[in-house]
Amino acid sequence: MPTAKPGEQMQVILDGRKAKVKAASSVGELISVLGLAKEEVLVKVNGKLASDRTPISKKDKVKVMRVIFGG
Amino acid sequence: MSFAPCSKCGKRAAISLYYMGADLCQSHFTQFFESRVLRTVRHYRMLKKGERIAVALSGGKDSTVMLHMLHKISKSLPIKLFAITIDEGIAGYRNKTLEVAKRECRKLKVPLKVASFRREFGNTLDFLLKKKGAERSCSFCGVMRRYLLNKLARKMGADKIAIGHNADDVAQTVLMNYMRNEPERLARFGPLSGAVEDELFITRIKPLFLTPERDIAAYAVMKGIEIAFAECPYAHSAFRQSVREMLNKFEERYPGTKLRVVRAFLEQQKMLQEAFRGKVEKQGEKIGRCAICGEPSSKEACSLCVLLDRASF
Ligand SMILES: [Zn+2]
Ligand SMILES: [Zn+2]
Repeated sequence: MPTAKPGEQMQVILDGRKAKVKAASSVGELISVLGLAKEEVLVKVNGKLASDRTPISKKDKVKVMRVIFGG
Repeated sequence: MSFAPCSKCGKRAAISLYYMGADLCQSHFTQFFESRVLRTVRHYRMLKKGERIAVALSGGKDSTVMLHMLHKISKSLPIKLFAITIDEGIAGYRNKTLEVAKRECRKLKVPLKVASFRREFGNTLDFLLKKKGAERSCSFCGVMRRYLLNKLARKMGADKIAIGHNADDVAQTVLMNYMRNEPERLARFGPLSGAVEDELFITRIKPLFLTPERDIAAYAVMKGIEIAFAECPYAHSAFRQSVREMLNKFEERYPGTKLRVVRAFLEQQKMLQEAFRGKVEKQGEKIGRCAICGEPSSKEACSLCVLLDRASF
């Protein structure tokens, strides 16, 4: 699995808003980079839901959705 | 282009299920999801042939996915579905979810009844909370919603009311009850509820009792069910919020925690019911009627009439 170079950034969509974050090489790593709880999010890669081990790169369209709400 | 494989078939995995230690593709996930709901419904005998089921539909993800599941079940088990959506009168929030409720009911051809606090109780929740203070918004709203739902479902001839409580809600409720030492409330709680037997109380069923919240969101996304991910503007119970955060932290570190709490509760439920429900029945006590509105109540005035200051004593 390719690892992102240090200092590299990637663009993702977090809850509908664009965000620039430290590049991650997998969905699971991206969730950690964002400081989110795995249990509270779902991630789409190129329009499809993806598991944590799904590899990602800067070319992919990545959407992170926080899906668990209070109350 | 590489991808991570499904633990069952090796195709492209769509979700990691931590409590299962598995990654599943879309088709294996939806299969698993649907069969778990079906198993829950069968195991607790939630539905009988020919019954009229009132679906409490808020338009949020839980109740909307529940509506889809019940609709699916209704194709093989003849039951009559209709939905009730309650407009509490929360500006900027309920309008969005109301649209979802209307759209999904139209899509599935399920009749929908929209009822409002304003019409039924004379005022919107926004108005009442301005008068009463918003600190206890959720308990006020809960009392009013349960009352209205029960009354309407009964008037519309429902045999059961389906509630979209998920496994996360259940785990939170169970822990909260322990932390508050309220076992008698826990005895009344369950996948099929109504510890108080009364012909005016419609039995409540919870088909998503064993389904985690995150799975419900994933199912909605996979099935293209557009959900308004809107949050209620009122401050939610700070206590429930803390328990929820704690449970999510535990789930992250010890996957499966939430479902274990739910299963532990289900194991103990019979004992709890015998301990607390038994008492009422043995004494032959029957629940009374509210002197003001005539709905079932254990006190002279029901909690709704007290809340709305209808009671003058
Ligand atoms: Zn598969
Ligand atoms: Zn009353």
